[in-house]
Amino acid sequence: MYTLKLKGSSDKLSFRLVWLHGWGQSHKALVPLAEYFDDVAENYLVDFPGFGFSSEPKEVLDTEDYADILADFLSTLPFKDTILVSHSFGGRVAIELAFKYPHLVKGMVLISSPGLPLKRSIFFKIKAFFIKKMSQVIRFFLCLKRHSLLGKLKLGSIDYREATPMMRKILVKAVNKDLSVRAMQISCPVLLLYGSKDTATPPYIGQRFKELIKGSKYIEFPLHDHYTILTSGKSLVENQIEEFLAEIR
Amino acid sequence: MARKKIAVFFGERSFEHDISILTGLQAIKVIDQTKFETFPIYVDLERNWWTGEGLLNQSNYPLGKKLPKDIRRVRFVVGEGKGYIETVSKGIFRNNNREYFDAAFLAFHGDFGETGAFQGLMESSGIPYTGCRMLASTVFMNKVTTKQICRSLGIPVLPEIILERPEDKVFFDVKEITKGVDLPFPLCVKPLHLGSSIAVSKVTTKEELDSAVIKVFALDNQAIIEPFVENLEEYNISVTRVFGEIRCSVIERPTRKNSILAFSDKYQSGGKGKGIKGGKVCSFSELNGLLGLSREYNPGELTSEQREKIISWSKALFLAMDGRGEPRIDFLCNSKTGELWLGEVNPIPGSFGYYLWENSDPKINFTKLLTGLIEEAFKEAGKKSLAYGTLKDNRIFEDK
Repeated sequence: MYTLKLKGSSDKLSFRLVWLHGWGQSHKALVPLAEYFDDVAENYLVDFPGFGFSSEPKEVLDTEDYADILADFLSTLPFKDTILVSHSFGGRVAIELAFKYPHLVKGMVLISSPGLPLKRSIFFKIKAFFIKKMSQVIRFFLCLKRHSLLGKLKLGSIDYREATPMMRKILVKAVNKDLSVRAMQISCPVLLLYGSKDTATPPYIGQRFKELIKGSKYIEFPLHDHYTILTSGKSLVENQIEEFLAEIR
Repeated sequence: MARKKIAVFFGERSFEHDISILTGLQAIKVIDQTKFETFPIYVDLERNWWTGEGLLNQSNYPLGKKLPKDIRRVRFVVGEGKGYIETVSKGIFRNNNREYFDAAFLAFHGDFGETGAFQGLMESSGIPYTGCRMLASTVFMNKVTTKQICRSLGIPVLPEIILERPEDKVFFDVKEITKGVDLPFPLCVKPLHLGSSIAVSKVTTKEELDSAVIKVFALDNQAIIEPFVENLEEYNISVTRVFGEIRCSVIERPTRKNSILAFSDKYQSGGKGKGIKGGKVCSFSELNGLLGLSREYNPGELTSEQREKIISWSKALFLAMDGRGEPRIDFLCNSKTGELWLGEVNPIPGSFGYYLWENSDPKINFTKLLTGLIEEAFKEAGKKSLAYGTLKDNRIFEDK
């Protein structure tokens, strides 16, 4: 797994921030945010297997497998208080890591993190059912694989359509995993940051996480969505992380 | 604690109208929503005021005849105590909702929101507002008055000649107007009141001078002519005291394609080169005003003496004008001789010049900068209300 330590970070800094990117992205998406904390923490960024500079896994990994890989990497570093800062898919891995390896995680910031079932309208469920059934029939007649058909018909989410066959399988596995039981077991301080205009991980996901994770703090940014929370909302996020770090340290 | 309600103003009848829209939309998404409740007020080119969530969507500009449902026209009401806005509606079932706000966040560029005029409106309406006060805004937006203040403070500025557009003539003889220009070529011709490097030209001949003056007179009633600085480099810095003590930002050197920094360098060179063309609207990441310009922070070629001059002159001018907000001060330099001149001051710089503060030491991010500006607005209004606390003591007519 590709990892990057920010240039300006000094080994003498007493704690570490580990930045975990979202699906379809790489460490680069979080560099601007991480740079803001360069004077106060040691900053590590990663490219999860199958993203950025990291090669694609040879088998279908679960988010727990990603957490294991990350835990292996963290174990190679000298022990330091470690705070995970994750966006989207990175949040799934962060939750798995904090659940399975609580000794490695001092705190966690989940930005637009999924991990709980989405509320789907009846219309959506009917549409999904028909698409599934129709694609089975068409596949049968055309002898096509599921992913190539969905790609041709431009069906499925953008993340799904743009992924390779292997990464699609990983995505499906991740999306279908409900992390609510794991979230309930998390004992470290957690900051939850969500955008009101986020349709990929709507704010109710964050509010539900707040109920599940004891003592967690939830902040919602009214004008931001799943991606602008990292771009035009960057300084809002920076300030909340800064406050959170001051509270837990 | 209830969040303060902040109206973010942008647009106005200005040549920098569209840049102001970008700055306003940028600001509203960055203001700390945990502390303040924000809503947009857009002043269009015809001086109509609009509000509503639809204004936050860049693709709705310019506003057409068919308006999205979430945009409504409002009017600003003065003369009934503190100013407020109300919805403009007609008919039997009209509902003129009255809406008060705690402070005005000004994201204007150029007329009339940066020139002191809008600041005056806010002052007389009793509404706290961000940025430079009325006097400093008016002075800084007039390049000649700024120079006169600089001269009185011993800050070097270039000599200038002012040309006036004849008010009583539609057609005028430009040669007649420029015949008194006795500065040696090359010269720099600028509008007296406009910012963003609009209509700024370098001229090397009398013919070029005439055509540059005509270009300026299409936009401004006065042109300012200065010697063109050879081996020109420009350096910008921002000054503020929103964080307590007076503080200067990092110094930047913007890079440019031509011999002078033009409007196209500043606003049409950004991101992926799309710009706003043929109604095509870009995202912030693609077009974000001055952010499209490449720049160098703390440029290595500046000596410590030059840095010291830029900082001390900026602070001196800011203090002399009782500065508020965080104006950006631009300097001109002959890179061969090392001579420096104060060029101009932008009371409300594009994108609030936040990149300067983000790269300063200690760094101040965009949200913190805007929080500082809003808090300063309330502090200034508080000072005013203290000053007027004794109004009754000076009455001639007694209360009945």
